[in-house]
Amino acid sequence: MEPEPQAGDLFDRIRNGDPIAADQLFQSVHDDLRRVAGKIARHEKGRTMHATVLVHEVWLRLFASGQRAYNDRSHFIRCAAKAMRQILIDYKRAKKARKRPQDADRVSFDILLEQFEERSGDLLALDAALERLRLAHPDLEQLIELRFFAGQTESECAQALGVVGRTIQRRWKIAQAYLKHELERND
Amino acid sequence: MTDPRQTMIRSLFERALELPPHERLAFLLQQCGGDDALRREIQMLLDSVPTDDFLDPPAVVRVALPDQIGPWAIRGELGRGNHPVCLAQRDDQVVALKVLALATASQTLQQRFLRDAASAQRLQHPHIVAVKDSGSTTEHAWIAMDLIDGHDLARELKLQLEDAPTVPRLLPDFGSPDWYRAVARICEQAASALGCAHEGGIWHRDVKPQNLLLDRQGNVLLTDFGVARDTHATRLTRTGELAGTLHYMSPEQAQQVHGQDLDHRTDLWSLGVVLYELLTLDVPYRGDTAVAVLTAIQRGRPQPIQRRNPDAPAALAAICARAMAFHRDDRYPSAAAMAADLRRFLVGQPPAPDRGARFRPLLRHVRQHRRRYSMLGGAAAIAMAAWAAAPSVLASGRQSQVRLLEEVCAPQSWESLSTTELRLAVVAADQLAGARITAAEGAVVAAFSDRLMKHLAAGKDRVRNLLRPDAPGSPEKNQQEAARLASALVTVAPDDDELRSLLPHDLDSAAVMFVVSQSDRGPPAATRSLHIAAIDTATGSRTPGPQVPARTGTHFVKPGLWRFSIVEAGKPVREYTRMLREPATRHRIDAAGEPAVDPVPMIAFGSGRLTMPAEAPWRPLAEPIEVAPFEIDQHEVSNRQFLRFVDATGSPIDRQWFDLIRADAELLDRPAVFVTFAAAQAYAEWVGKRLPTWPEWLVACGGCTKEQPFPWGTLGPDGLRGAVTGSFRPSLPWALALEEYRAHTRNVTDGAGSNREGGPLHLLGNVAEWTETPAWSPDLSEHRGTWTLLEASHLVAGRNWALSSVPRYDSAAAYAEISEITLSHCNHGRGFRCARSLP
Repeated sequence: MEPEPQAGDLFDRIRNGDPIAADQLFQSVHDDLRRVAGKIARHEKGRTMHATVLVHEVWLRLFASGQRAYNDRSHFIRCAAKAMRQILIDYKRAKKARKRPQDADRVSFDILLEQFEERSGDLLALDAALERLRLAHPDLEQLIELRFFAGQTESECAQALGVVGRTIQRRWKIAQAYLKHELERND
Repeated sequence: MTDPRQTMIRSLFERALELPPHERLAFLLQQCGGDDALRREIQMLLDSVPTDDFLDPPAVVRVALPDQIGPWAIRGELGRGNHPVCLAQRDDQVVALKVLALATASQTLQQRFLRDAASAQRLQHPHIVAVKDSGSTTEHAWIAMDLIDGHDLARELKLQLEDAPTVPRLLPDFGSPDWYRAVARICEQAASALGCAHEGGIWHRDVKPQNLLLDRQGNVLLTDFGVARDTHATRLTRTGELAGTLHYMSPEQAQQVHGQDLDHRTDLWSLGVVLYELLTLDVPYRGDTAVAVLTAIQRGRPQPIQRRNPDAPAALAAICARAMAFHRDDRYPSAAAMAADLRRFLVGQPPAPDRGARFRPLLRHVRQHRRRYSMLGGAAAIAMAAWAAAPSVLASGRQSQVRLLEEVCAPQSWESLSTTELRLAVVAADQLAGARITAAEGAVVAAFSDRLMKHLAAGKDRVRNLLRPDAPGSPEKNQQEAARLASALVTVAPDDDELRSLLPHDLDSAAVMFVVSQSDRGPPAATRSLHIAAIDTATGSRTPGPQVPARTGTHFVKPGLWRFSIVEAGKPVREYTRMLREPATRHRIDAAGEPAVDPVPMIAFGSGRLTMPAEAPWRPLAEPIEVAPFEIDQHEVSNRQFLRFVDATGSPIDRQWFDLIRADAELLDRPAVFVTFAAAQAYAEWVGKRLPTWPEWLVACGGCTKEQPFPWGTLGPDGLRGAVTGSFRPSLPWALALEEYRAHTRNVTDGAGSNREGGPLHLLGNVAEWTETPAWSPDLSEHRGTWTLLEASHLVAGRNWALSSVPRYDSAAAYAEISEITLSHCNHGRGFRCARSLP
């Protein structure tokens, strides 16, 4: 994600208690999240899923809970990725328990879920494997959240994690292998 | 990372991953020393490195869509097909909304998009994704479709190839008996959907798994008519782009850049490819480049299905082979026929035999070498080809003729024989009778002749039509004979699929079309006859053709503009004017029923000649036009009458407009407007009339009597006769349009009786009116002076109130307004009245 000085300033201003910043924050974050949400749920065949619903959910989790202290854009993106993972996992659990949201939302989420699961298999199994992975390799978990759940590109991940692109490439391969290994071990 | 062993594993794993695969084992053996557990752990991790797209985020980024498009709140993007498709909501209606961003779309793309909407909106079929609404904002055009809870077939096919057991699938496992049943059902549903589209004059041209959606019940829904060719909108589609997705293109589609020589059978090919893919999980023609694929398709002959998948049911493979026949004549004649075969598979029956298959190679040969055979009559030419050109098919001449006669005599009834077979047999018997033959052969000929005479005695028209002097005569005589044969009307039993597949395309020089005359009310009375007249597209003049008993059946005529009249006691009871095009389309004519009572009085006109000025806004004609006797309604069809028709027939209309009309009793006797050409024609046919031709309208308007030319002098002081090209449907809100209509129109009967000598006075000024005369468009660019027939456009006559304020048209008594492109075009200044031919 390109550093945008304005948005960076915004985070500073919020931390410093600037009242106007809140409105601007929503605008900036909303667009940002839409971009992210639009990307994560895209199938390689060009199938797209524009997850407005997901954006709103992420927004609620990240900002309505009172937590506003994001150091910078990178920090924010990392939190958003985690939130997206959480939302999807929660939805999947709710779906299993037959507790479903409203109609239009449900369709959207079902599509989202399926698009994720096309690439990962059962999300709940993936979540459990991620939890196990976190114990030994928290950096791999973070990368998977960013890349898989938040759909960040290699360079965006590099920026969010503060490492060079080549490292991300290597780490991504390792993360994939570890996670797959974890998933298979569970089977 | 606190565990040192874990740290070591990861570090070694990372280093091993950097090495080429064949060096990894040596590396690990060296690094791990005797610790086999460590080596195995790392080896497992190395084996886990995914080669597929596990967890990989996709690379493409697209421009985000807005939250709101027109009335629709965008809830998400579904993204199937050629355009972004989103989930959209309006009130409590949730739909799939196909969106086109106008700023980035080329003109062609925009037209295609709108055509998609128009084409699909006309089609209603359980296996076609229903289009609910369409529209545009300044930035986007949109089509609202039924939301299908499911996936496209391409995804399901891909899932079968992948080993991903956790992903929910909509189809059973590949290769299982359930799979083949599902395949047959999918293709059957798709074929019946295509059949519906073809009947509506629309060829999809882009049938592929991505455009076949599967819902949760496993039902298939056809979507994306974006590259469809609508036979009603000919001009739009000749854009020359290579439409359709490569692997699913038919040979003729791959060959033709201009797409002019395609017909509905290109869709059957594409569906055949889909079936092939479902049976083998691969497309029949592969190639590294687009050109390689196209070349492979044009070369023909894919690998047989059962070589790729020996388990595939033979019946399905046969159906696929027929759908994918290289020559389209060898394919199913219609999507319905293909659907029927698939249904047969589902109930365990073999596919219907393709009885034309024997003859078609010969017929193709005749067509290719038409000139060589043109000295002979049509049927003789076909028979000649049988032994002259394709001995492999019918052995040697005499033997094959004898065998043909034997085959023809074998069945109990001749109803099941195609007319071409009978023709061949008649010619063969003729030839044999004049040749030296054995006694056994003579017996066969005699048996056939006996049979033929019996049929003749039984009054079988079909047989009588076949019998004609076939002896070779002078070239002129033969040419006349060929022409007669070409225009001869052949009547056969309805629903003869084989015949239909054979005749329209195979009869020598006659590119024939057919018309089914059929009725819900039983057979027509014996006193009725069917008169068929060719209508000149430029002048509306009619050339009487064959007259036959009005029996239920299939009739074949050449493509063109035809008028079919059901005549009783010398007067037409019903009239239908139809533009018949290739390929064969079915048109229904009600020969039995009585028309609805029409209260509008008519005024009769005798025959006369109409001189058209050279600078007229239609195709200029040097010769005066002969106008045959006719009668025409004294006034326009009123809202009251039109709504009566709508209520009785359920004919589709612009509900919004007519709801406003219904709400106001004062408007009921005003002329009906916002009536499409198709609706106007349907009304006219409902009351047993037709729309007037353009010349007829002018005659009525000018009070033309016998031998009196149309008084062109009354056209206005400046001599201008205006032509309006294109539409002027106002972008007015309905309420405003209604106000204009209320202010400017008058009741249809006002003044209608005060006709001057010979004609109604008030054809002008109230509303412009539809005529059935097709419009010709002048080519003003390169080929100045040439004219193109706009097959789906019709001339509109008369001056309407909306234009009376425009000075140019103020004084004009009549002008031709060329309606734009489609049958459905209409506006609030255009109504209609009916006419009828007189004997």
